[in-house]
Amino acid sequence: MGQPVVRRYLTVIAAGLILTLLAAPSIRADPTARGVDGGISVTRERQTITLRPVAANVLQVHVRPPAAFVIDPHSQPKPVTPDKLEDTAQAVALRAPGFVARWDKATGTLNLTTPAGQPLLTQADTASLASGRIVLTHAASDPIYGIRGYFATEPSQAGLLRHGVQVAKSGEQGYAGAPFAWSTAGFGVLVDARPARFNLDGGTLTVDGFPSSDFTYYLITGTPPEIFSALSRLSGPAPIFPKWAMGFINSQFGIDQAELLDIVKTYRQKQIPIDNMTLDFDWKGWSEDNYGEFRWNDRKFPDGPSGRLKTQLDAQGIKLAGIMKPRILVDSVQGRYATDHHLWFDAKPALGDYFSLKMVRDLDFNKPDTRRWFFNDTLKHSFDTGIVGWWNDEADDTGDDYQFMNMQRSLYEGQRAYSKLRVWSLNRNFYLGSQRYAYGMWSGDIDTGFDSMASQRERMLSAISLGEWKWGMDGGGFVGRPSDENYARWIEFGAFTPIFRVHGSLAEKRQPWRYGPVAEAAATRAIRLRYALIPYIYSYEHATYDSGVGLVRPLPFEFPTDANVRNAVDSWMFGQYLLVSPVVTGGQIGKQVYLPKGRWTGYFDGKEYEGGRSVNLSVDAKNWSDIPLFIREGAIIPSQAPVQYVGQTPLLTVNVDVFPADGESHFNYYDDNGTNYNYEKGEYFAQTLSTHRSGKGAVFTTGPRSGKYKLPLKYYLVKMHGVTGKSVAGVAQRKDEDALRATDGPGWATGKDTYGEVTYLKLPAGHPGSWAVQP
Amino acid sequence: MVFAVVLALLAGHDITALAADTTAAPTPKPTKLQTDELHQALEQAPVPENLKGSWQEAQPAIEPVVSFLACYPGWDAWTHLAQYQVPGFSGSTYYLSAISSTRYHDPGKCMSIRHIHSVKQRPDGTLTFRVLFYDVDSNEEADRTFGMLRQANSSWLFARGGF
Repeated sequence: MGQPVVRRYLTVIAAGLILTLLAAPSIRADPTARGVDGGISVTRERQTITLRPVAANVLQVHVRPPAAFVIDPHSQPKPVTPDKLEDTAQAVALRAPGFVARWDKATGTLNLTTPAGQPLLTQADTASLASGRIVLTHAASDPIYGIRGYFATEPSQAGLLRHGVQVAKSGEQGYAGAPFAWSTAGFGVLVDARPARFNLDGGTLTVDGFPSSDFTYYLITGTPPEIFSALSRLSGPAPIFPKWAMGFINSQFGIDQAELLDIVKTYRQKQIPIDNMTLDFDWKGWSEDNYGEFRWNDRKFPDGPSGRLKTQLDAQGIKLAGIMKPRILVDSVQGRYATDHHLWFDAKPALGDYFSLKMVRDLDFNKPDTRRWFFNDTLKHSFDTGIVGWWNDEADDTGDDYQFMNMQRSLYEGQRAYSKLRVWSLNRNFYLGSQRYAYGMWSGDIDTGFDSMASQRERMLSAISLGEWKWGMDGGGFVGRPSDENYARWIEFGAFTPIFRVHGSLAEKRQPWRYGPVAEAAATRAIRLRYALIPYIYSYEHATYDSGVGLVRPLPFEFPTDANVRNAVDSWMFGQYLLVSPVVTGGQIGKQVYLPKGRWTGYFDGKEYEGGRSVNLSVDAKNWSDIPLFIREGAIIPSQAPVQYVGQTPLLTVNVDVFPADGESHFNYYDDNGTNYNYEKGEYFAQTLSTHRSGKGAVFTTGPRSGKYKLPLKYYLVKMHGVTGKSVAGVAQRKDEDALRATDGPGWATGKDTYGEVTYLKLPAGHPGSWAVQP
Repeated sequence: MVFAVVLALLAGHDITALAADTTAAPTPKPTKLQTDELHQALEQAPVPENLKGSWQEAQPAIEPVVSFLACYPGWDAWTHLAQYQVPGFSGSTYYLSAISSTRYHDPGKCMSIRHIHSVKQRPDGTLTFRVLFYDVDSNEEADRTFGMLRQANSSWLFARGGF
């Protein structure tokens, strides 16, 4: 969030190296290399290798016309002119803003370095490309991330580093895969293939196992945010979820309309914020004739088909999502349609459904006809009457790497063609490229208990480390019933994940009041905190779309040179400015948390810490309400007053907690109407907020706004922590914070809060300016 | 998901088993090492004390089923395993081929068994456990859940065949 907001694609930078293989001939030495058309062309016998920049920090290796496996078919990278192309007797060297690629004519070796000459990757064995193998070498000490996550029931190792043979595939439930490996040393390798097999052996990175001899790969350079920004541009941006999806989601199995309404009523009575109820099999006529899989179950939800239930829930600020399965009843109208139109997944026979015990069969979403049909008129009616989110389950069961992505693609393309409302979905595995279809993922049918909960951390951070920023889990665990303490801690954990939801198996209830008063109080506090932070969270939701860097960031992502966090999963960054380290052990009375270098402030107690070391915290084993949460120096954190759901009241004033550091820090504040895709046409509000210390004072700056969306927002109520102002030029002083808030106009005041001395600034939102708080 | 649902639907069924058909299925055979690993996994499975009797009773069904599924690549595995299944519910045996979850496993070979875990009793007369299959070459794994029901003669048959 350190750069001004700019519209996607306007800033697409370019660089690339294209490597084209013609046929698969015998390889001879003595290749001929020459600089041509802004790239490097290497020819030997029938093999031609072309290297060309397609972004400032991306070198493309092109084998044949691009096959769209993970690359966004709507934004195929285009070559750009390098800064410099030198063709000498010894080498061809190509210089782009983010790298230098040098082809040594004598050895046939490609060296990729930073512009300053620091070695990143070497490709000495280009002959193996002819047999579909990429062999790159790098410093043996370089940590490697990405490629794969973990499936739901797999015993995981608490770590993010990848070694040995690792397979990039969409995989089983909970798995996330991408043909993408990267290093905090400053490089990434993206192969446009599905699946792919990586072998990480010391300083050698080998990729093979492509389904065909056609392949293109990309060598990316830069910091982790730069690498992920390029990854997003290459594989496609993740559309912004509806704003309600930033809130709390209660997925629930085994309820009917009456119980649903009772649950919603209780949430509202207890003032526990919530935005979405997600329904399991119950909502639909599962395995019933006449499109039962697509329509309401009017026995359990009698007011579903008429829209009356939607009207009731709309009035309470609740959205519904419903489960969707890839299989339908064979002996039915819809089944016969699928048979007649060849929509079945041929490789998998009809099987008895475990829930209905009727014969069902998976559809093949790789077929365009299936995708067009699936968002059919019956489903459109369900959508119109309240099912506005798609919880896609079990499409991982075919073992096909495209099936899940294409199932959600069907719903995404169908909904976008039918409605202006934003698409939301949750899916049970991931492969890079799926994010283009508003594709959230969850970690599958996980067990309850502290061990299972703790193992979700590496699952989340692994998925994010390969490009799936929209991750969530069955909070509380799917299988079994969590203890009261486990539930409370799980809610606190979930509040600091991208998709904040709870779910359990049949008859398992996951509402906070089911777990006793202590857990209810702790859970309520965490959920309310989540809602306070929604202005912060939503800005990062936009950043995921705009810059390919989202809300939850593994520590090595933010602190790439800190060896202590290379494999860290115990803590992560929630945005740029909050470090969270949830309690994941039962009965814990203390926790050691490593804080990277810099100054940190305890979020709840204002206690200050110097980073670069571990700190020991006491943990409340009695009330379970403490969340180890730290504010990074330089923080700019927008928040809002309590609400029960997103959009409950117009947001007129955004609170902005600011912790100035000596250096300049930024936050790109973003908002829009939260419901449709007009942001793609410039209907949004964005403004960069900046701060830095100046002697004993500090400066707060609001940049020019961008976007043409008219927000109700009038003011930023900025709290400059650790700064005692004696004067602020250009605005009037008020008695205190209350007086400042009560005045409809800009001003400033001083006071004290949890963090000590504070200077308040009330500033007009959307207007550029700079305010110096003088001590 | 929802094994509890399956068990609830199947509880009380006790029907004489059908004939075996595993020999008719064209599958690779496990190596001696793989057979040893299976035996080791069975012996070292973390079985709660109160389930050890049931676990032993169920061995005659568990070993051949797990061994077969480690080698059989198709979705119709249970058509070859009817003798080990609660009869009358073959259509409800929703099965996920462990091999189908791999991308680089040689289908001419069997997968190996890394371990058996999560041995539990849900309702009385039931037994659930998980098997972690793996492919030594590609480092790919597949974890499958199995559920069994005790029969009147104290034998055990499968109600859930690995998903």
